[in-house]
Amino acid sequence: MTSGRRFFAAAALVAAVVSPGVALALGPSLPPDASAEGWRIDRLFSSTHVLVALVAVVAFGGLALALLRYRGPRAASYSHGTTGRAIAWPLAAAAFVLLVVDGNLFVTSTLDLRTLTDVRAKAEDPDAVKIQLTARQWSWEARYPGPDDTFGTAQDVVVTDHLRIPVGRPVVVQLASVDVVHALNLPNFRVKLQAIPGRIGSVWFQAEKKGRFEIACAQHCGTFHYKMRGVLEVVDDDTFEEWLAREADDAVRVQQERDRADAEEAPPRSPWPRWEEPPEAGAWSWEAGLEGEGAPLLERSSEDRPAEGHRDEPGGAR
Amino acid sequence: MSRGAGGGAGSPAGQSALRKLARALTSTDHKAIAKKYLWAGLVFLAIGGLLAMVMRWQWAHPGEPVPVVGQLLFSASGGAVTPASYTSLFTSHGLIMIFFAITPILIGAFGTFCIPLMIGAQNLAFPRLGAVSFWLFALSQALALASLVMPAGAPASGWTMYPPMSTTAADPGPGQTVMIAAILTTGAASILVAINHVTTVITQRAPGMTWGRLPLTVWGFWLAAVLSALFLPVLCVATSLLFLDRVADAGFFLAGAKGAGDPLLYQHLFWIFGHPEVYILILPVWGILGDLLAVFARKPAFWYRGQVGAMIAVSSMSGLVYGHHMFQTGMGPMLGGAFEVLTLAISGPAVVLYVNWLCTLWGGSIRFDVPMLFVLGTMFVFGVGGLTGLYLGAITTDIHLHDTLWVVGHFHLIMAAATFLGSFAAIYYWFPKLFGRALSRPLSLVHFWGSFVLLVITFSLMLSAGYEGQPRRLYDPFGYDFLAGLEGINAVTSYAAFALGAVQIVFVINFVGSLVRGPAASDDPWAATTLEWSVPSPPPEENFSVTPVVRRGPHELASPEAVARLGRDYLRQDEESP
Repeated sequence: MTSGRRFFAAAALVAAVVSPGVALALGPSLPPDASAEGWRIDRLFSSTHVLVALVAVVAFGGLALALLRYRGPRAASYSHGTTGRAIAWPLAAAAFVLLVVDGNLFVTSTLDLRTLTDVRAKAEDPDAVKIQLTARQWSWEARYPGPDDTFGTAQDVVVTDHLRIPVGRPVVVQLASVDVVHALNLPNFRVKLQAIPGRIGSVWFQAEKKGRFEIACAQHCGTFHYKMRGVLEVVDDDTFEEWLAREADDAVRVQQERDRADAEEAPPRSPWPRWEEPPEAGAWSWEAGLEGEGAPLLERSSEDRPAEGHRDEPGGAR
Repeated sequence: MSRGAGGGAGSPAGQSALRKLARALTSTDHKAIAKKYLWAGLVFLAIGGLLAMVMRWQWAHPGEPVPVVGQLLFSASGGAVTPASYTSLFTSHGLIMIFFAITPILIGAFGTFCIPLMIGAQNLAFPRLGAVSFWLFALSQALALASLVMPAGAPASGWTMYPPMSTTAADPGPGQTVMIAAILTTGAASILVAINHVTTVITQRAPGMTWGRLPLTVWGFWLAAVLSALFLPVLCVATSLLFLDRVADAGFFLAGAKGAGDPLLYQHLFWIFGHPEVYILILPVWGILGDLLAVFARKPAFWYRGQVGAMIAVSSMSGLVYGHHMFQTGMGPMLGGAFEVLTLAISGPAVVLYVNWLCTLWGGSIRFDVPMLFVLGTMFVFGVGGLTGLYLGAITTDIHLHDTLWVVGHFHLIMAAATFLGSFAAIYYWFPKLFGRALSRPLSLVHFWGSFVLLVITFSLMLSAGYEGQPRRLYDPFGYDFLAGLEGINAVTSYAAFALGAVQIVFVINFVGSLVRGPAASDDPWAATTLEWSVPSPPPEENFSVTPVVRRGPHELASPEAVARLGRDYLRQDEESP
């Protein structure tokens, strides 16, 4: 090899080896965490970075060292690597990765998941804000219970693509889709969950910082997937309650006006009962998702499917 | 120029050329079939790569007209990628690369070429089935191309084709239906190939070629074939049900108001196939790495049984880990935890493999020939790909990373970088044996360094953007405030990808040029130990004029016996002891 070529090769090698390290260590950072429990995920990232960096230094440093030290031609050793001492190397390395790196990932994530997936306990918390979130091509429709704290009444507040939640209170979201598979993605709250037609997902989080954050769709859902953006506005508790009450009043007022108009327009005396529209399909009730325990398990899902639980309650305000 | 003994007697042109063509098309010789797979795969590799570059243009310059090909592909929008065509771009890129480019190059070409030669056989166990598989595969490629130009658009539901996106409820056009037919056809072709490869290794080994003496390459191809035979039928089931949903309104995957089925069922079926598919494509590369590291370090492969055992362990576990693709579907914590343990456990045998490769190099006499450079590059990108996968194996870190560019960067480091560099290691290593000619070393070096460095840069920057939270498959990611700062990194990634594409032109020149006027290759240019190097380059139709008798394992390098008696450092598997 000429010295020019050697320099080129060495420079390229260094660039290739260094770039993932630089890219991963200096470049990116996780989106700012605005949630109460997101630190658990960020902490597992940090500890894994340290362990992975250690493994990478040994693995790639060992590779570089071998290439430098054992450049041919030289007398290679006639060894098949079958002695107990020889195979201790791969086995020890595997044991380290399995027990330390994987062990840390598994134990930490399993312990953290007990908190992160404990939707049931949070749903029973009287402080919790409950939201039925419907994903559709290409928007997020959220339904809050009004001050009566009951879904499916005239007080229901329905908003699209702009959700408000109070800071410091758990938010329990039940998630459904009426068309294709979507995924609720709240990057600043470390939340991601698929919305799958025919079943209801549930997830909880709690905002610790006020401000405007974004709702993204993480699952390819069609041509305008990239436009399925929503705003999540975290406000203080009073502002939230005021807003909710105002919206609920508005919903009730609209409903009353509609009822009055219906009554005035209705034919005076008909022998027939009022025409019943067939229930809207593909929707669901809050209770359907909370049967059983915790987050809906895969095995349970057959109960969640169509029959009773998935029909919209008539009379819900829209 | 000597083309070996297999070329057939020269005869007058004209009608003889036609006859030659007819013979080439109907040939049942595994080497002729392998070459057809190689060409078919390389052409689709170029198509898939071009699709990727058009996609990357959109991320570097959202909404701006694509240079060169824009007017041709997107004339209606003045050459700019539209949201709808963007979804078709990434859908067809993924499907083409996995099913119609990597699979034929690795398994179709090199599996079919290497297995009989390396085990001392004359041909595959079922030669005519070998030819039928290829033509079935060619039909599937034709269907895939046809799906791209169907009225109402190419398939657009992503390479995973999740329903209801892939059903007529969301996409009534014929493009998706034709692509599903293409996947079904290619699945059937792959099952036939798998049956052929599995049977060939079991029944056609030369005398003395015990399982413990099989080259690691053959182990890799054999295990990949076993997995194909087991799991491609699951893909065929999933796509058949999807096909019935589209053409017969069967409703297997439609829920709620639209049917009594379940879209999640498809995800299970797809990933039961989809995860083993990763190993189907990487196992041959692992095997090739094991053998080539020994040849170019001039030292026996370290702990042969450990390497085989690790590959068997990964193969056995491959069907049990697929759930990590579905961690964020609302999977129950118990089931998720089980999949998490199994997924993380795969890193055990993977580390054993890597350290074995490292120990093969340790104490060797390393020769930096071109195939070796590709092998070392594969080792590196496989290492980075494996380490970045750990974060996806744990449910909580996966919450943040799922469906981001981190996933895309990770699986491209394995599926694109490692299988790409591994495939090219195979191409550079066996090219002399396949075609009887040698490639140009300077052009090969440019191709290696360009590909290696640019692959690493492209996919590490993708990891970086994903870590910041950039979701995959966004036509214009910068409509999100939290991604607005990522325009620079996306543009750099795109230009690295364009450069990567440009470097492949060097390979095309080298490949075609060497085929036409490359110097004749010797029978054993690498001083290697396996049986294919005992026959002329290219090998005659019957491969071995006399059935070889295998006397030792595949890595008798640095052999003191050979050095003392023969003045060289190796003994081929079939050579009598000096």
